[in-house]
Parts: sequence; C-alpha cells; structure tokens
Amino acid sequence: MIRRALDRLGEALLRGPHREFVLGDLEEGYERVASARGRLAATAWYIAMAFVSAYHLRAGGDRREYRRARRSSWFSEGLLDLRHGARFVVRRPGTAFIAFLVVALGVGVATFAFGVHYGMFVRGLPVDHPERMVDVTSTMPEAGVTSAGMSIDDFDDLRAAQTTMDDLAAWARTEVNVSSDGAPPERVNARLASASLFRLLEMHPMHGRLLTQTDESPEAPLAVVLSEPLWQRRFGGAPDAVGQTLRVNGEPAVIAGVLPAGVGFPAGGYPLIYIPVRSTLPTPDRRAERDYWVLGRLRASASIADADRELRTLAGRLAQSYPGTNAGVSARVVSFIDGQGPFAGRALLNLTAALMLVIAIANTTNLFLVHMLARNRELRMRLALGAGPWRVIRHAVGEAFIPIAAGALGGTFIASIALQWYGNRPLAAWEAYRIEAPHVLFIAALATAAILIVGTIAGITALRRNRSLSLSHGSRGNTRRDFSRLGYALVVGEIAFGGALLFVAGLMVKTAVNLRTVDYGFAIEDVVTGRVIVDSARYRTPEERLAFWSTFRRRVRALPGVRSVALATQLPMIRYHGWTSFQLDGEPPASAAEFPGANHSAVSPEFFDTYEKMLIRGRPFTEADGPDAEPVVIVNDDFVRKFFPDGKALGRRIRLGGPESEQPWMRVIGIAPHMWMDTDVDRFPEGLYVPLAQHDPASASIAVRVVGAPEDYVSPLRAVLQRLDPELPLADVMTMSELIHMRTTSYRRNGPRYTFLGAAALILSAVGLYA
Amino acid sequence: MSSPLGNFEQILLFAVLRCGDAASGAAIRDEVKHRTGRWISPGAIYTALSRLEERGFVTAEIGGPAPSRGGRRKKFYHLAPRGAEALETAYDQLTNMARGVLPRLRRLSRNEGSG
Repeated sequence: MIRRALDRLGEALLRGPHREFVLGDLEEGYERVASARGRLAATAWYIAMAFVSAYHLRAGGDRREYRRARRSSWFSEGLLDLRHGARFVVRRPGTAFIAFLVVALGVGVATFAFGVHYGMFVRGLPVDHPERMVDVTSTMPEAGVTSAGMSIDDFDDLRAAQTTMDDLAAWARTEVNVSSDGAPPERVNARLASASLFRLLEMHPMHGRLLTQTDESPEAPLAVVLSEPLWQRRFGGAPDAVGQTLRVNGEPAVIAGVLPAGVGFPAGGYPLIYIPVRSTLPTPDRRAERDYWVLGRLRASASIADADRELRTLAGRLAQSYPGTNAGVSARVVSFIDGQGPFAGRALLNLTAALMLVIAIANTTNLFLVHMLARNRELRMRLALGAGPWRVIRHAVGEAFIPIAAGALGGTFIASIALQWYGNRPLAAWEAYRIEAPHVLFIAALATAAILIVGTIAGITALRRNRSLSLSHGSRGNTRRDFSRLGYALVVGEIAFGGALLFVAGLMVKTAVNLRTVDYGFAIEDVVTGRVIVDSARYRTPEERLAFWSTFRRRVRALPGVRSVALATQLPMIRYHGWTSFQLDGEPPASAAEFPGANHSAVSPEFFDTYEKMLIRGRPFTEADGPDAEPVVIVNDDFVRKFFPDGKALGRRIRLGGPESEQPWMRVIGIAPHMWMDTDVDRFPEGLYVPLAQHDPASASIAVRVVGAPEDYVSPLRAVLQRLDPELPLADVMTMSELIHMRTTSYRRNGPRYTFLGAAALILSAVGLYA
Repeated sequence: MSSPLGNFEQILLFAVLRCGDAASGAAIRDEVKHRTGRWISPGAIYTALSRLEERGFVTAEIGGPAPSRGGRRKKFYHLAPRGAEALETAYDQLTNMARGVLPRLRRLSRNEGSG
C-alpha cells in the first residue's frame, strides 16, 4: 500500500531519460533501509530521495532542455505579442496615448485614495507592532457618550490595576505662557504627558533626554521637553538650550531635551512643549475633570477584547467607589486607529476611487474594443490561418500591455505628487503619505488586472462579433454598428458615474462658497482679536485676576482709534472650553446624565457693542454686574427655544454645573441673538453669557473694534500688555476675518479636492463618449 | 595539461573504476558514501554520469530488469580510455603537488583545528 503510493510519487516527480534507473535505485534503497531501520525510516528516506533526485534531474541537463522547449513556445509567443503591442503604439499613437492618459488618471486617483487610506488607517503608529497600540477612553453609556477623556486619577487607578497591557500613557492638550530673559513671552501649545508616553511611542530625543518617572514627582524640579520647531524658534537650534531654564506659566522649568524634527504626539511638526503630569494629591472632584487622553500597548498575549473587558470591570469598580464623579462612567478599549475616528469622507474617498478606476478600465476597454472591431479583416485572416481563440485574446492582451503599463507608471507619478501635497502639513504621529511597498503592490495588481480585463473583453467581444460574420460579408464593416451592447453599457454606466461624481463635487464647492458668503450674524470687519492667559503662580487670588482684566480692558479702551473693547472667555467662532452643564430652577433632572448643556462664555460689558449686536430683549451687562452684585446671565434665542419653550426667559434662574454644584443661581436679564458660539459647525447653537467679573476666568480673548485697518492695532495692543505685565504673551492675534478664514479651512480645502476629482471624472467620461 | 575534471567527477570516476563490472548507479552511490562519507542523491549521480558520458569519459550499458527493482532495469557504467586518461592526469597533478608537503599540511590543519 505504502509502497505503491511511494512508487506513484516517484513516478510523478521524476522525469527525463534517467527516470527508470533512479526509480529502480529508489526501490532497491527502500528495501535496504527498511530492513535496517524499519518502514517508517525507509518511507522518509524514499520521499526525501525522490524530491532531491527530481531536483537534480531537472537542475542537470534535462531541466535545461525542458526550459528551452517551454521558452520557445511561451516566451517567444509572449515576445511576439509584446511586439504586436509596440507596433500598435507606433501605428495608433493617438489611441495609445488616450489609453495611457485614462489609465494614468484612474490609477493615479485610485492609488492616491489607497495611499490616504493606508497612511491614515492602516499604517498605524511608527512603533514595533503598531497593531498592539490601543486607545482607551471613558464612556457614559446612559448618556450616550461613547468616547470621552479620562481624569488623571482614574488613569492612575486603571493603570495600576490592569493586567492586559504592557503600559498605559496619558496626555492632555493645554497651552502655557513661556517666557525667558531676553526673549518676548509667548503662548505655546503644550502637552501634559505621563513619562510613559515617550516610552510607549518609542520616541528618542535629538538632544538631552525625554521625561522619566522621576519628573512626575511633585518635589522634582519642573523639567520640559521641546519639539524641534519650538527649539528652532526660541533657541535658533542651539544644542546648549538643553539645561537652560524657562519660565512656564511663571514657574521655572529646566529644558530636559529636544525631540527630533517631525516627531511629536499626537502630531509633530509644530511648536510644542511637553510638560510632565505631576502626581499631586487628588481632590474630591478632580475625577470629574476628564481632560486626559489615554493610549496603551497590549501585551502580546492579550486581545483588544480582553483589555476592553478588563477595563470595563475596573471602571465599574471605580464607579462604585466614587459614585459622585464616576456613576455611569465606564471605559472602552479600541484599536488606536479606530480611536482616532470617525473620519468623515473615508467612504466617499474610497467610493470615488473605485468609481474612477471602473471608469478608467471601462474607457480603455472601449478604446481597444473599437480598435479590435476595426480590424475585423485581419482578425478573420488570423483565425483562418489557424489561430485559436486563446491566441486572439493573448494578442489583445499584448496590445493592451504597453499603454496600460505606462499608464500605471504615470498614475504612480500622479499619486506620489498628490500624496506629497496631501501630506504637506503637520501630520499626526500615525500618518504618513508616500509611495511605499504596499502601494507598488497595489498598483501592480491594478495594472495586471486592467491589462487582463481590457485585453480579454476586447478579444472575446471581437471573436464573438466575428463568429456571426462570414469572410465574404463586407470587407470593413461599420465599427459603430458593430459596437457591442457591452460597449454601450459601459459608456452609459460611466456617464452615470461621472455625473454622480460631479454632483458630489458640486455640493462640496457649493458648501465652500456658502461658507465664504454666509451671514455670520455679527460684524466681522474692523475687529482685531487676541488672547491672554494669566498664570496662577503670579495671579493668586480672584481679586488680583479681576484687577488685571479690568486694567487691561481700560488701557486698551484708551488707545486712540478704539471704539469698543470686549473680553470674553469664548469669542464667536472659537471654542476653547466653552461647554457647561447647567440646571434650570424648578426643573431638576432625573439623573446626572440628563443635565442639559450649553455653550458658555464669560464676557465683559461692551461685548455685544463690539460685534454691533443688540439684545433681543432685556439689558446687556454693565460695570455694575461685579463680583458682589446679584449673579446674572444672558441667554441666546436658541437657548430660549430649546429650554424655555414658552418663550418666557427673563427673570428665570439658572445654575451652572452638575448635581453637586455649589454655584449660585443666576437670574436671566437678557436674550441675545444667535452669534455662532459653536464655531463653524453651529450644531449646538444654544448658549449663555455670564459677566466676566462674576466668574474669575484664567484666560480671556480680547476683541477690539477699531477705526481703520485692524492690522494696525496689533502692536499697540501688544505694547499695552507688555507695559502691564512683561511676562504675559498676547496669543492668537488676528483680525476677525482671518479667524473666520482659518475656521473654514477644511471646507475650502475639500472643495477644490472634489472639484479636481469631478473634473477628472468629466475628462474620463468625455473620453468614453469619444471612444 | 590541466585537468578537465571537477572534484565530484573525479570521485565518481574512481568509484566507477572501483566497482568494476558492477558499477551501477546504486553501487557507485554506495561506494562514494562508504569511502568519502559523501551523501549523493540518485538523481545527481545519473545527471553527472550522463554529462561524463556525453564527453566520452564513461560508457554506459543497460542491464536486464531485476525483481528487487520492481522490474526496472539497471544502468552500468565503465571507464572509457579518455576518462581513464583524464583521471590519471588529475591524480598525477594532485599527487605531484602534494608530494613532500603532506606532513606540513597535516600539521597546519591540525593546528588550525585545535586553535
């Protein structure tokens, strides 16, 4: 039984003139090995010998013969097909060029879309095993919140208790005032980061060192790490910056190190300062401050589901231990990339790319189809001379080869330029846009598929047409009439696709145009804005801070040409920390999750004047609404519509904060018009305004309405602040028009992108019609 | 005259010579394995020997079918005069080169081996 199977194997494997002798030797050898070491050993011996012998027989003279024979048929025929293809390019340069163009466009767009998709969702963080990186967030299932930040105390507890991850890291976005002797103070984007962040992301310093565990101790001197652009800007790239001392929010901080160019989290490429999260004793309500974002690295043995299950359990325990802040709060673990979503436009981009590709292939097929049908006579000749259908199809594939392969190269070029353009901005740490090995594979697969599809369809259709025609019947035929039903289907289909694409592009462009011409509901001309943040190290009491705001406002007001000045924690179109939960008097919500929320801004008197808006009803804030006066509030009409459906808002009472709030009740004294409190999206327009003097903010924006060009007031503004406090920077200085321009960037960017896609689709459709 | 034979071919030709009239593929294989410890696949033997046959160094003769081989025939090889001449040349060249230096060679290789 076994013997026979082995024999079969040997016969199947071994070829050539020595087959018989080798098989004989194997059989003899088998018996000998079997009698010496048993059947099993003999079987293994036979199999090994058969394979090695087969290799040697082929690698020797026989193999060469075999290959030569094959090459003479396959290879030379393939070469012949290619030569036909080359002749086609020479004879019909126009058709070949259009095919090239169409394929280049199709492959270019598809590869660009693939590149964006790959660079954004597949590649992951530049670490070992990026697939193990996970995103950890708080969730509040009852309130429908699926992803929120985490408090630093929850983070510490979860990190200590969990077992499914190597480590966890927390980071938060913030901004700080940075000053040092001999340079003007500036406002700098900052990241509060646990030391584990650098380890987890496998970052290495360019100079000095990164943050370590000891930097997290409250007793340790404050150490910071600079991003490369900040280091360049502030120290001109001097390596001796490491070890120097800055003042961060007034506190001395030693520069521990500098990150390499382009490296940073969540994005590199812009000025950033990293500050360690220092472990201070938790305060009772600090768990409610969910400011931190958390990422982790799974252990090799754990899955995302394991980690998710574990963290849910641990979060459940925290909810029991700290019901005041953590009731209803759970945790969620997803893959890091999934945690960065949802990404609008992802599906649209892929769909667009797929459609473009279909159109490109359809058009190319049509071109070759027409070309093949036009050569009916030649085809019939070839068939008459004995060429099989297989041969005809191969011929068509050979003709398609050169234009499509060249088109794929051209498409790669287009895609690499488009990707470079797309990545020409500070990128998140997990993004990268360039042609890499997977892209080349993708393009090669596309091109191969295109060549086969185009050649096969053109060849088969031509053959089928041919079978129904006799040799005598019409020497040329009418190619238009011969044009197959398939051809018409392709053209109709692609015009539909092209139309759909243009429709999408049109919508995008329309949105972009709308945003530019929209009525923002307030005056945007003649207003210059900036932002000031006082540090608690030097401004310790509410009185000191209020005095600063008041003096600052008075001095700016006194500048020549200034018509009005407003301070506000949140200006129209800018959201910093402008969302608050609140409670309506007499309507206590059933649970913590049901507390309503609204935009919220603490504003000075003259705020509405500065934007040339009148209150709909009631009165604006005045200097009399100070810290000791009755707490008051102004709500906007969207707020009234949503929370006071009876329209009677004046005189009602509102309290900021959640269920355990100790904030005073505030009386509604005015109703303001809609003023874009929720940036450009305007999805949550409800908002309320409170007097700046009653709310002690640490930061405020300033808006100044002036006579003449607002740009001219930037340096006088800075000078006022400089005289008042040389340590404080004026940040985000820009005119209101610039600010709006900045806020609508994404739409203005997407508009042209889709216009480009639409135009490409139009060109492709036009080619389809032409063909 | 330089040797037209490679090392493997020399070994094969010596094995053919040693086996005499019984120089079948399997016997040659056993002989090489027995004397040199070298492990050769049947396929390699036949391809190499057929190259030597093409060059006129060996002649081949096909024997009768044997039951131990599943009724398959054997192929026997004999050293042809050209092959004998080439093998002799190769051997002479090697022994002439080796004469008088073997003790040193052994010493060196042992030192290499131990050091």
